[in-house]
Amino acid sequence: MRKVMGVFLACIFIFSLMLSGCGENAGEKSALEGSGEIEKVIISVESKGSPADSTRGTNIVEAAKELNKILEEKNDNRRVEVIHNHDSTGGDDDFNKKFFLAWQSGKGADILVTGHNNVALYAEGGYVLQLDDLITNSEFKKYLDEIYPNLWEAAKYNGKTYAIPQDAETRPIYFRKDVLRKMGWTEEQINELPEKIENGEFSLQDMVALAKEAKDKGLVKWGIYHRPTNGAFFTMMVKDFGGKVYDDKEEKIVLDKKAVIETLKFFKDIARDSKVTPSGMTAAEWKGIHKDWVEGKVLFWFGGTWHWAEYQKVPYHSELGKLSEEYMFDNMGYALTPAAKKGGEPITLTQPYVYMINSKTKHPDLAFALAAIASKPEYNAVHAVESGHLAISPATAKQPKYEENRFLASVSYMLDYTITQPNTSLWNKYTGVLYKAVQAVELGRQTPEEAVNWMEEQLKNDLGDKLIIM
Amino acid sequence: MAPVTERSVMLERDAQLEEKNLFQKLKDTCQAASFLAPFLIMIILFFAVPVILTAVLAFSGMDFKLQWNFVGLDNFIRILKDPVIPQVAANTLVYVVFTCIINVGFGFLLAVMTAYFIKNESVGLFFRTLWLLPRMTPSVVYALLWIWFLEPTENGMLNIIFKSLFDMQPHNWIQDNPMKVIIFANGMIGASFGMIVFSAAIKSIPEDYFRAAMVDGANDFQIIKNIIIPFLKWPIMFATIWQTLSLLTSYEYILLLTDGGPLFDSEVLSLFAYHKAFANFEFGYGAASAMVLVIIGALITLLMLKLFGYERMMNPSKLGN
Repeated sequence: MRKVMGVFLACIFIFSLMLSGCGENAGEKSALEGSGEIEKVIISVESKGSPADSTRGTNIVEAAKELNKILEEKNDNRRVEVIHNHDSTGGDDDFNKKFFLAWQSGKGADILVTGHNNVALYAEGGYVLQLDDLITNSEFKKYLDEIYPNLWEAAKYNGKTYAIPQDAETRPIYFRKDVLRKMGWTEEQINELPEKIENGEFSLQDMVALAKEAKDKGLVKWGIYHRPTNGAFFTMMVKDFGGKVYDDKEEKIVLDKKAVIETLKFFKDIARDSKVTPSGMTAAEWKGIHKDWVEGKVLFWFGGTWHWAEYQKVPYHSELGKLSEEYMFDNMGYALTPAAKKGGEPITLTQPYVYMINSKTKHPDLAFALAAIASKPEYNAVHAVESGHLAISPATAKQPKYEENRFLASVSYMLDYTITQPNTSLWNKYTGVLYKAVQAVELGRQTPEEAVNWMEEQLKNDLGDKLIIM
Repeated sequence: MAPVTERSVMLERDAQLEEKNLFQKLKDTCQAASFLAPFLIMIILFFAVPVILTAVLAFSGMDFKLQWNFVGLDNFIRILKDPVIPQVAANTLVYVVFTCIINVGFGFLLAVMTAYFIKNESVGLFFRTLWLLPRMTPSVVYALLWIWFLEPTENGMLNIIFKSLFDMQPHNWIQDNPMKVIIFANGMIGASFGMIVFSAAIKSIPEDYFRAAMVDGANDFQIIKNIIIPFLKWPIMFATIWQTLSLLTSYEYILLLTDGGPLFDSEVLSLFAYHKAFANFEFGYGAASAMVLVIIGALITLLMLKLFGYERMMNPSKLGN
């Protein structure tokens, strides 16, 4: 018995030693600071986007190298190591859910890189730091001075800044030049199409008619593809039809019934009447959509600038694999989203991505420094060129790498026509219902009028007095 | 010193006996408690506490801020007014009833095939193990297999089969028949549960009954109808109640196969609660929807126990008396 007790006590003693050993880590910082030894600080970064967008996080990794040199020069004994995870699979909901639940237990990434449309959720929930003080007083603010003011607006919630703009984009309509050639279009006609769209001479109706002609002639499998999942594209279309979606003064969602009906009529037309879009477009797989597009089986594709880079990095084409930019310029064109009606103004939408800093981070100064350094023109230009995004500042736009990029230079005019989504925590509820309404009319389950009535009923139930019906 | 009488000796002996009985009772209670305690703690921790938490959460307006702000009956009133709820309720009813029929009916069929018709125990075991394979497969893999099988392109396996047999164009099976697909996929995997329970019950029927029936000239159908089914009444009751409750609250295969779509065509109440809580971050509203499920589940259990005559089953055997 004594022997057993002896072994038991020895185990407890060893276990206590192990625990006390772990405890020493907590006090490591102060001990190191006093002794001047190097303290390693881990900063975790979670970014999301397409596979081509991983520079959103790798730029932070690069920024850490520069920051460590600065810290060394300042005799600051901290050194930063960045752990980066880029998520290109799930949607906003999964990304946000993962962070919200981790944050509750004091965890979650120190730096988040996500769409500006999430700023309101994170700010209102207290998940991220308000950055106004750091932006005003930090020694690293100089790297943020030149960022375009409209991008800063997208990073604000209730007049306060909770994020740092990371990139910008536009959502062009892509068209297949090779298909148009087969339809008898001359090179001149093809090259003039973006200008005609910009001038309002080529409307959505013209686009549908052209798509139908191509499909009827058997040149393509489908005339028009749009994204299959919920996203900013559907809001852009409501705006294209002159709709209002948010009232800034009242801070309420607006259901503009007339404009939404017109929008839904467009989706009904492409999926049910003209049959240029599959009726099950909202249930399609992303991979299949990209594959059909790069292989020239679709005439028009409501994509984004980032897809230009994605097709050069991901082998969607069954024969060519990753596309060369030369092939893309030869066979693909891009333009603004045409105006809803002839003579109207075309449109595009930008959903800038932003850096946000976890409100529970132990190193807010370092996290801010990293985000600020990563915003320097040289880093931002790398991200823009590698991922098909637009510059966040004039200084980035002047970077040789950016200036030399033919694609980015040719889409920069689209920024004059761009809109953004409102920063409100109610937004997801509106977009979710709008997406379901599009799905209902494309599947032929509801007429546009019935779908809008359903939207009204659902939004009333979901938003209560936070809804204005026009 | 008081004289020792016969009566005082008896009284002392009674007191000793009583003390001994009391001690024995205490010992028995402690023994029983020590056996039951781990399970009781587990039930409290993993069943009672979540139900209580869900019930409390159902009366709050907890959203993405994850704060407890009590809103009374607002969430339940919202459920009644939600335009999607009638379709979700109808989907739930169809899904539970038809999947349960496949689970129990097909499970019974498999049990009869492998435990009655196949006399060789090893062969029967082999087929039962085959049917258990989906159970051993992770849910995501099982759902992916269905998605690949029903892929809407010309490369989908079912489309290949129909193309070669009937020269049919590719069909989008999941989009056009979401409820049928989820009922069938859930039914196939759920049938193995009934199969195991029923085949064990069939094996426990005394062989004499079968021999006597055969001597009397009964055919297989009559044996199944007059011997196997009456003997399997209680296992069938158990499997039906168990599967009904499981199906009411399970949504993983629906989430993976259709995510409740297209539109709300395959959205059931449990998935609706999940979507509200984890996609819309309306945790209070999601919990209220889940509470409705708990109440429905409890009512169905009571109803089924009554229908199957549970009290009669639990009564002591009259033969024993």
